[in-house]
Amino acid sequence: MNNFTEVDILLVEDSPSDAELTVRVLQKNHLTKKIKVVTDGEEALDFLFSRGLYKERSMNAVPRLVLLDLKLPVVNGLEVLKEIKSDERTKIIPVVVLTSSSEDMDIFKSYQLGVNSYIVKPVDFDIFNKAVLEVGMYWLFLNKSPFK
Amino acid sequence: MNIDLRTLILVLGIANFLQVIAIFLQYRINRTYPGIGWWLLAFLSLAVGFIFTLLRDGLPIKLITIIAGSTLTFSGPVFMYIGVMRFLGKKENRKMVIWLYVIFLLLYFYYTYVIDDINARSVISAAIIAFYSFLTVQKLFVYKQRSITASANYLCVAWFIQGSFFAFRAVDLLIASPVSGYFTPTLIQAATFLFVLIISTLVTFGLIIMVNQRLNAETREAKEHFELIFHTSPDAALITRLNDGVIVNVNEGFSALTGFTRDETLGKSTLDINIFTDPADRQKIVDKLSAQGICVNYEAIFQRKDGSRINGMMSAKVFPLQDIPHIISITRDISAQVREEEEIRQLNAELEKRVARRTAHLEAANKAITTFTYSISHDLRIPLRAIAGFSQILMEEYHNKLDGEGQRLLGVIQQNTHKLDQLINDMLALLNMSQNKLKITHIDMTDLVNTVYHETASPEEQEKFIFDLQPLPEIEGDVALMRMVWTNLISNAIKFTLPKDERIIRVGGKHEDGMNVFYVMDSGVGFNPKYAHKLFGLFERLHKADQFEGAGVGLAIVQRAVQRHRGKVWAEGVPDEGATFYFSIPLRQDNP
Repeated sequence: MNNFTEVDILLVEDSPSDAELTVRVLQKNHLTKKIKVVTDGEEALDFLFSRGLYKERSMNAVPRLVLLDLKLPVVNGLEVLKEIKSDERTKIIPVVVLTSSSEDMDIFKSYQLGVNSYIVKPVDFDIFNKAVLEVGMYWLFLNKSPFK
Repeated sequence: MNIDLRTLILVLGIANFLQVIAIFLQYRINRTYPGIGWWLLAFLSLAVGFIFTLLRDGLPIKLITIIAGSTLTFSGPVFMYIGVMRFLGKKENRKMVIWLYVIFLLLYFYYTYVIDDINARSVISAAIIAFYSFLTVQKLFVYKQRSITASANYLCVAWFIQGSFFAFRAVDLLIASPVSGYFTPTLIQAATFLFVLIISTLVTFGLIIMVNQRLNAETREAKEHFELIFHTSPDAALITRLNDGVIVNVNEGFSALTGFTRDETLGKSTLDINIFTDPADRQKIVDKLSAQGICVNYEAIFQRKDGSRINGMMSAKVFPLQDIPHIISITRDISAQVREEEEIRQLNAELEKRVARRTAHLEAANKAITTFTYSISHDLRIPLRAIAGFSQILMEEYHNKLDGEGQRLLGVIQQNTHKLDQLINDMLALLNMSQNKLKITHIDMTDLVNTVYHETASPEEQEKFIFDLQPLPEIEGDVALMRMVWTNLISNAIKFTLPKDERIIRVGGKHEDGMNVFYVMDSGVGFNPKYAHKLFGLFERLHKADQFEGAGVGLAIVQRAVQRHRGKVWAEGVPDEGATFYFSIPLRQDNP
């Protein structure tokens, strides 16, 4: 997947199981196969801003959606969100927080930083499936994005 | 010797008046002593009696003057007797006095109007005077106080001589030398008047001395009392001159308190021996005394001879000593009290600090628990979702490859995943409930219970149940918490009644002792009342897990929610017959 020059969804998720389940749902339902998974905040930012490992990547090929977990190693989700939303080049990318935290403070801060949606990961896998599916459907198909 | 009796009587009368003046002065000065008034009356009646006697021949109504004069003369010894009794703090024999008056008057009238017999009248007079003299002597001798012994004895002698003389005269008049006229200048008659003059003068002196003796005794006693109090008081007593602070007197308490001996202090000023740690204190006390004359419970730090310090409480008053204003002060050592108070204050401060520290610890611990529970809940959820997700994939995509047992096992995994999920949710709910502030609103409980029942029981379940909802009192409370209470109680009732043939759930409530009490009664499997106390504990279950689902959190949630409203929960149950769960909510919720 590393070779994708263009991605539809950047999934920032440090739990491999959650990442696999999410990717699986999106692929199984034929929403997109162009999903980039990164496991920490720093890698996410490197990817988005074409730094470090990803310095070859074109900054123009921005993903159409970022699915962001909040509890991340190295750089946490809220910091990632802050960086994305404070840079002219990336602030137009829709960011959906997909996390297990339902703390009011996290929700409040995310919206303050300009998050586009905040989804608490449902524990029940069926509902989780549905939620991921709906988010994908909405942001990739239903929503009119400025990129295309 | 040729003495003119009239002259003698005149002298006697004048002397008597002088005595009246002397006794009157005594009476004026020592009005508080009983008896002196009677003595005054005695001398007065004697004096007036003599005037009547003197005028007996010159007046037209001769017989009346005789009677009046004699009565007044007769009254003298009587009043004297009464006065002595009163002075000694006793009561005179009033009955005897009155009867003797009556007898005297009757006899006198008889010997004046019926038989005009001057000799008989003289005998009666002498006898009565003798009688009262002896009576007075006897009483005075018996009842006299120690303090007046000398003067009392002197008076006893005087009155005894008077009594003896008149007794002799009565007998003498009766048998030896009867008198023919009042002013007949016989020797005995002259001697009588002269004698009365001497005795009454002696008696006057005696009485005055007796009063003064008593006065002296009392003054001495008062002084002794004062000295006794002054010297035995454990407090420090000090007498100083107001203007220069020179010490006039100190007691043993003062020496004990300050360490200065009596000799070291007398004649020196309080500033010389330097007992005030802060000399301004003495000035403040003096100022107060100058302004108000008194200073009560002034607390100051005093310095002992050895330099050590004590806390004292001083009261002082200004009083004149030989016309010079002095200060008497009493100082109590309150060092122990002050020390104790200080210790108590320190202990209290220490205690408060400790409470604050504990509270801080507790708050920190509470916060740690909260954080811990949150993170546990979240961290538990991730693997839980993975288990649920992957077993779901297994079920969907590898269904064909599993045999019956494999599918059953997968089902067990999924069931338990669901259970664990519920448990985590309940724990979070419980935690939230304990942490969040109550939002108090008015709640229509009847409406709430109705809604909760129809949400909790599925339509099929509702078919099977008789749901009897009585009108419920309205309350003030947090509607989210109340909803949890009812949801848990009603879902429990449904759960435990479902296996029975007769399925009744009754919900009711009423006012009781300032509380609203609600209950949910079911006809379910009930419980053993022996374990009623365990019902509301977290993770406590009274039924086996395979019989009834549940994690044992529901009733803990109910209890917590009710407690947050300052109410109580309790339950009654009979095995196999049903259970009733009660909870009470105070009528008013003050903001918690």
